[in-house]
Amino acid sequence: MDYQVKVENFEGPMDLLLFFIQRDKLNIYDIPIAHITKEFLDYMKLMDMMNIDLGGEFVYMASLLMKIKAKMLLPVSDEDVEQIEDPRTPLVQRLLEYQQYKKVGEQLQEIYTDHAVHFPLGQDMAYDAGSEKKINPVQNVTLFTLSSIFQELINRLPDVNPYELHEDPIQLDEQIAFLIGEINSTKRLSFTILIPILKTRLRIVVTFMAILEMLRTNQITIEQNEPFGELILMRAAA
Amino acid sequence: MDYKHLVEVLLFASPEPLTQARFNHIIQDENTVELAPIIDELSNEYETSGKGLIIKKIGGGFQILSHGDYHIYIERMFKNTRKLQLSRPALEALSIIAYRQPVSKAEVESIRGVECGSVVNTLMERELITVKGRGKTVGRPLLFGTTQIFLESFGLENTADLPKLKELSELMGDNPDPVLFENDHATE
Repeated sequence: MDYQVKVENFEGPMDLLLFFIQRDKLNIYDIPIAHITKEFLDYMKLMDMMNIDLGGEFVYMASLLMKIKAKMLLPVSDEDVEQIEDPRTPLVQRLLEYQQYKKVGEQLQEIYTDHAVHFPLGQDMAYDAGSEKKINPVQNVTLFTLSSIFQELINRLPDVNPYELHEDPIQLDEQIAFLIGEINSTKRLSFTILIPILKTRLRIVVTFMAILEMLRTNQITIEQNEPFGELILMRAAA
Repeated sequence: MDYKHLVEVLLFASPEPLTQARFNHIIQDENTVELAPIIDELSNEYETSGKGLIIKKIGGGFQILSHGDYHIYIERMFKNTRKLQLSRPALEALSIIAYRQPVSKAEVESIRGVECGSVVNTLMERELITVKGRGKTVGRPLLFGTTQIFLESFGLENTADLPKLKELSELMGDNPDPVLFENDHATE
């Protein structure tokens, strides 16, 4: 069987419902729910057949339609008629509201088109160079030419020399020896002076560990005159 | 000093609409010189003498613009003329934001019935909308509103310049709730 399918570009379920209402000349204030629900579900089925993913909002709308349909089938006693809101009303309101903004969106486009013929100072705009003759730099270039040029370029690349990064080994003993030397020559060694000499973070850490080690073994003492003040390293009094 | 000439010069040199506040700042006069009547006079002159330029009230100020009749020549002169290409979803979202501002993304989505994240982002990128604050509801969502660039791009004086919207009650007004189950469509 031949199917002629024209898929309109719908902006979601609300747009689709408005399309049905317009196409079938339905009264938006008195929507035949059964009819529109069927149309809606048929559309979803069709999209499914074509492997088009419609997204959750369509599923939500379908369930909303079916809920309204079910509500309308429920019998209502005569006294209740006055009080109960038409189950379609919230949907109708939403449709009307959406329709209004849809229209305004179109009007906005018109407003823009009307205004866009007026130009302010052209300071951000670049002159069109297009009036000069256009040259196509890749004229007469075939895919084969491109691939051989690319191959050539690849061959011309210098070989990458792999190399390994060696971590500078820093020994605790070495740093202890280094500190002893420094303290011997300066007598009072301030810790902040050390930092620029040490350069790397690892070396600073190891040196700090060396200080702790030396404190533990009573090789040095530390003086600090105020909280967060300078740390002064000194040889422990023998 | 001739204020009319001064205003004309300022309009000519200003890339943005000239506002009264900026004008006050420029003339540095103790007495405020009203911009509007000078503009009116200028604008009238332009109209009656049939100039190639017009003066329009945009975004709370005044801007000198080229006459609409010659736009194709300007378009030919420039490579790109800052034309906005907005999709229908973007225009819909933009109008909802323009009327409802400050408004959250969720509110825009509830009206359009579809997810609006990418559309809102596009509008943000084009600087047509911006974050105006945070809502008081759960999650303190970002609230969006339109920008000065929006007014300038669309040539609007302010957002009240937009086409009038009907209230929901007005939309429903002529057609009160249809009598429930009058026509039993559900059993079709």
